[in-house]
Amino acid sequence: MTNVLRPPRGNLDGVEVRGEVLAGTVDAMGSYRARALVILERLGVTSVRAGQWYPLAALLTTFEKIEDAAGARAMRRVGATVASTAVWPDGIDSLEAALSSIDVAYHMNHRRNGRELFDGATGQIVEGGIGHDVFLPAKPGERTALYICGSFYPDQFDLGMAEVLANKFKPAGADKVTVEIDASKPIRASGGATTTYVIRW
Amino acid sequence: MKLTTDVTQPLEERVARIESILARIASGDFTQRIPLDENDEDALTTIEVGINFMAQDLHDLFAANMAQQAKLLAQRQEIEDGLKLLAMKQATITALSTPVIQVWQDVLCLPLVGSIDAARATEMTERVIAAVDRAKPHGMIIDITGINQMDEACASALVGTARAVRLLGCEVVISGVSPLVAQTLVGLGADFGAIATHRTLWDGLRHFIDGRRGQSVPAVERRRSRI
Repeated sequence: MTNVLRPPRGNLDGVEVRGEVLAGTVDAMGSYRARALVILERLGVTSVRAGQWYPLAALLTTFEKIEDAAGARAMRRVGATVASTAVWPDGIDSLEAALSSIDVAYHMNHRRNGRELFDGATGQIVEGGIGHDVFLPAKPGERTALYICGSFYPDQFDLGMAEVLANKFKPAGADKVTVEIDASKPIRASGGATTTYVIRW
Repeated sequence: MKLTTDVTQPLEERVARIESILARIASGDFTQRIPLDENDEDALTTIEVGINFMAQDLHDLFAANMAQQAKLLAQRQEIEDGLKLLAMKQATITALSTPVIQVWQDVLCLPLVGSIDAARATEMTERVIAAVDRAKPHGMIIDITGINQMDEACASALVGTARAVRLLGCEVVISGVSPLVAQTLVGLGADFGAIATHRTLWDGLRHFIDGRRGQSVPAVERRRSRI
């Protein structure tokens, strides 16, 4: 069965990321920034410029190497830093709005074979086979929401982002919001199609 | 940044683990990584991560070297295969360059084409002697119509081959001698002795045909008497 959320892992051919996102992500690596630049250089990315596009595979390989050496915590911190430093557009004032907007931002900042994946005229995502991130809000009376990620990004990166956003846009009445990976389901790091994050407050 | 006080793992244990992992990396296992505890983040973590990056680099460099080595081995194999093919082609060309063919009953012919160097001269002499020894013909025509350049080495090789064949009791005729080649041979002082020379291959062949018409003793018997 084809999973619309998550394309096959190997299907990275022609997928590129905006220079602004790549630069921001590398900056978010903090003390591992220099290392990330060395890895990127070895992968052929010698300079990162706004307005340019770069192979997403290079960024993902850099993520893998950073996580391999510095651990899951380091990758979670990168995701958290990206979410903390991102400028959120007006109108994003709830957890649902914030996490739902990530899929749009993901498609706005990536393209495949030169084709952009967001139509500015219609405000619609253009399907490009790069996966989706979906937020499932809590049912009435419950205090648990789900965030299902099928993008190419690492589990720990998305976890860090979700943690920051969940606490930045706390549901009404929530004191503390926790986010954890649902270990009862397959995750991307182990070959699963998606990773499910459980958000509790 | 503190060194460590309230972490989950004692400092001694972490140092011992670093030592153990370093020993395995030093022995060539570059897949080793120091596991990082979620609760540890101190000066030692920087060293642990640094070692992991170093192991990662060693792993990548080793993999790149292995890939390069495999590529070089493949290229070497390709070159060796090419040389083998070249040697086979060379052998074929050599065989084709000195063909000994039968042109009439008891008469062989060695048509020479191109130029003759020392290696080809040796090959030519060996092949002709082997053919004469095997077929025991009455006559041998060495046709030099296709020789494009006659120098001293070429003339010497020609004379040497012709004499060797005569020693085996086979009459030798050199055909295809053009006026230019004749002039060159004279200039070089080539001594063909009793070896008959003719202008064309046909003349050379007719030499044997006419000789056969005039002979009363069967060729085989005459050859025997000469030996």
